[in-house]
Parts: sequence; structure tokens; C-alpha cells
Amino acid sequence: MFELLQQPFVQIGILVSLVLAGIHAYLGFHVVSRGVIFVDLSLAQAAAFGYVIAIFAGVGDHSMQSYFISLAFTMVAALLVAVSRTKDDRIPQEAFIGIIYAGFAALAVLVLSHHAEGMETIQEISNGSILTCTIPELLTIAGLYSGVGIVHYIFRDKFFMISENRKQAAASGMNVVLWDFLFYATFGLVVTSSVHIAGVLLVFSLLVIPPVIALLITPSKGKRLAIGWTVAVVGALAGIHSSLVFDLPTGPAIMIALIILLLLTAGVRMVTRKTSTS
Amino acid sequence: MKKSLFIIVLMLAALTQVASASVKLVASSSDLASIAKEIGGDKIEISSIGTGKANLHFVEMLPSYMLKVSKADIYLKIGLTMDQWADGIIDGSRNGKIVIVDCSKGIDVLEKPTGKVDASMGDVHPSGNPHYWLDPRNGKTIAKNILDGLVKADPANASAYEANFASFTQRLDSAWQNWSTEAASFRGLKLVSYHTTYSYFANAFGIEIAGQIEPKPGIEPTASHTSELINLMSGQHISVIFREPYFSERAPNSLAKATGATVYTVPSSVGGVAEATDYFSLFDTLLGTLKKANGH
Repeated sequence: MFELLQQPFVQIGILVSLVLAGIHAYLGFHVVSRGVIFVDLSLAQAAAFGYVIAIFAGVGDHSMQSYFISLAFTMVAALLVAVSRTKDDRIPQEAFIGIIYAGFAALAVLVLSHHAEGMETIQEISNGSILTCTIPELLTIAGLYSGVGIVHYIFRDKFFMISENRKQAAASGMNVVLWDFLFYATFGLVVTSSVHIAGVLLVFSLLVIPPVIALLITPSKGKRLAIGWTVAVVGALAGIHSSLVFDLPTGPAIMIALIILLLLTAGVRMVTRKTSTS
Repeated sequence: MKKSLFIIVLMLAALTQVASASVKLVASSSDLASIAKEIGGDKIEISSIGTGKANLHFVEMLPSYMLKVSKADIYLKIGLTMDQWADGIIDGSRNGKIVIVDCSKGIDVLEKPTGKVDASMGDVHPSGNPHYWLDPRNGKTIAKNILDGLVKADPANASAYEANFASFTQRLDSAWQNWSTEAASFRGLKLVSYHTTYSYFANAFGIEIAGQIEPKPGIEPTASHTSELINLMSGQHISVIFREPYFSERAPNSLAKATGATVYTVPSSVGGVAEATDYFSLFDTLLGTLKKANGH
């Protein structure tokens, strides 16, 4: 194990997972309190479709051009998500988000159905590969996510108000569609890069599981974020550890580690509730 | 007691000697590993990322791959954009001293797209068909590339490698004679395969791959493509379908139902089926299947 920790690819993998855990656990709180759980899947799928278009256009799947093509599609999806928040309560927004996801997934298959390396690309984008991340990639996401973090810190009141109480935000005269789009745009920036490194499924797990665990543990807003980050970091490290010890793919190992933490939390909560009511 | 202890210590010392003296080689595929074993013999320690049972176009990254490559002296790539995932492993392992051998060097590549490749051309391998190890005559070229790599990585044992290379090519020549004789009985046989895996094999043994089931694994074949294939098979009386072990049985089976043909699961690499244990038995297995199919 110690010998493994001396390997640069392991060190970079650990750093990458910590950077991913930091931003995603935070953004996850917005996603969970908005009740748009699958928004990241649909944006991630739009990003993936952008990479597909980049490959189709022949600019390679790890170039700056491909990132911007991918980002453009993510933004289109972000715009669609922002305008799909209807006033009509009979249609949940989740329905539109699901449609956006399925649409981009189907488009990717259609476009790649006549391309030599199509299926491999689709698989790679779903599974990702943290261990082959390069130092420039690590520095890029660290810089980008810090930038997004700063923007979110500056406008934290507005972002949280619109996530947690949209009606109150609209009543206070905020341009809700614009702020919604801004939220999804920063979210899209993050997801576009993360998908390329970690894959659609791991990004989803890092976003949703830590906030859910935190919400199970505490009603307090301040503690929630700290617990979410702790959970994300512990899950990422435990996942990487078991991936090295048992020789498993790293992304899925982290996902299962997070799910085990969730099950433990839920179990403890059930026991403590039972003892407090009896 | 003392004596036996002494012997154990001696044996352990000998073992560590062997372990430290050996050259560590990692190959992208079981086929390259099998040929490397012929050339390197007991002088090298071989591990292969491909098992023969999985599709070489896509490999799920495991920590052990990176670890193996970080300690290896030599890496054998398939090349021709077949194993681009290997670049990720090699870069990620940050092994500065590793000798990288592209085993496709000097191969006469089939289905090389002429002019500019673009996506409208459909399922085209941009550098040509990468399944070149399935022509046993290419085995020599692969062996030569591996020999050059080994000599570069371990010049001290060059003469041993050269002797092994000579013996391997000799055995391959005589096997080629036998296989050619065997293949003469089903020369001109037509079959349908799943992917463009068997182009080199067909080229070597005078059979004809009349069509492919799915231009893309994992995506259902279009209705028009399937009906074309059924008409083609009925029109030309094709009754043999080849399926690689890692592709789904659904499409080949439904095509077999529609046309009365038989599906044969055949290896595309060493280890793909139990009988194909090395580079020689890979061809024995393939030709044995054809012989059986021809009898039907």
C-alpha cells in the first residue's frame, strides 16, 4: 500500500478526487434542495454529446476545442433546464430534465453509430478514468473550480435563496430565470470538466450522496456543508484505497464507498430514532 | 534440519537472482504476450492487459495495470489506433525508462482509408484494420518488432533472443505450410462476421467475409442493414456466422434463425476460447472451426 502511495498516478488520482469532492459536495446541496436530482445527469450527458460532436468533427477528444464544443452543448442544456421550470405545478421539472438527458443520450448514439471508435467513447464518458489524469488536467480543474467557488461565495445569498425558496426570491424582485441560468452555467462549467475526467456516474454520486447524508444527520445549515465535505473526502479516499488494495476500477469503487456511508448513516439514524421514541 | 534450512536459503537466493535478472514486459494483448514468450523464453516476465475474452478496443482501467507498467522495462502496443487506452496507462505510469514497441511496424495494413478520413465514411479504422495478428505471416513481423525491443531493453541477452526468434519463425513457417494445406479444402468459403475482425485471417486463408452483422457493437443493426444481410446470405447460400466471444449473441442468433445459418463462437485472440492457449493453437482453433463449418 505504501509503495502504491509513492506512485505519481496514485498521488494525482487522490488529489483529483479531493478537488472533485470539494466542488461537487457543495453544488450538490443546491441540486438536492432544488429537487432537480437528475439535472447533473442531463448536463453531463449534454457535455458527453459535445465530446461526441468534437470527435465527429475530428478535433480529438482531449483538446481545448473539444472542451469548448462540449461546454457549448452543456450551456444549451443549462438554458433548457432554466426555462423548463414552469409555473404549472402539474408537470414536475424533473420530467423535462429527464427528457433532456434521454434526448442527448439518444443523439450521441445516433451520431456515433457510424463512427469507428464510437462505443468506446460512450463507455469512457460514462466510466471516466481518474488514474490516467495528468498534472495539467489537475491544475486546470483546481483553478476552474476555485473560480466557480469564489463566484458562488460572492453571490451565496442569491444562489441559496433561489435554490431553497424560489417564490420568496421572485417576490424580492430577483430575475429568477437569469439567476437560474447563472447557477446552471457555473454548474455546467464544472460538470463539463468533471465528466471528462471522472465520468458521468461518479460525478452524479459525488453531487448527490454527500448532501443526502448530511441532511440525514443534521438540520443545521452551517454543519451540513462541513459534513457533506467530510463525507465526500472520506468516500473518495476509502474508494481509492479499496481500488488499490483489491484492484478495482477507481470510479465505481468511490461510488460504492459513498453508498456504504449512506447505508451506515441511515442505519444509525434508524437505531437512534427507535431508542429515542421508546 | 540445518542442511534443509541451508538449501531453502540457497533456493530463495536463487529465486531473487532470477527475479532481479529478468526483464519485465507488459503487452496490450494476449497475442503479443504469446509471441513475446516465444522470443523471451525464461529471460522475461510477461503480463498481458488483454485476456482474449474482452474487446481490445476498450479497456477498463485498473490500478494494477498502471503499477505493472510503472515497473516494466518494455511495453508492446498493438498500434493502428486499436489500443489508444495504452497511452493513458503508459503516460500515467510515468515510467521514463520504458521501451515502447509498436508491433504494427512494417505490417502491410489492410483496409487503409485513402485520402482524408471523415466520419461520413462510417465505421472506418482511421489507420486501417488493426487486427493484423490474425494473419500468421504477420506473426514474423510482430516477432521481429518484439526482438528489436528486447535487444534494446536487455542487450546482455541479445544472442538468446535472436536464437529464440530464429526457432519461432522456423516453427511458424512449417505451421503455415500445414495450415495452408488444411485451408485449401475450404478455399472460397463465404461467411458473415460481427465486426471487421477477420479481414487478415480471410486474406491469409482464401475465405471471404461477405458482410458484417453490426457495423457498431452495442448498437442494434438498422432494419435495412439486416434485411440486406439476410438477402445476401440467402442469395449466396452463406451458412456460417462468426461471433467473437465478447459480442452479444442476440444479433447473430436472430440472423441465424432468419437464414438457417449456424453461429460459431471463435477466438480473435489467444485466450478467447479455452483451446486457444497460444499463437499456434489460436490458428488451430480457427481452422478447426472452419473445417467443421465446411462439413455442414
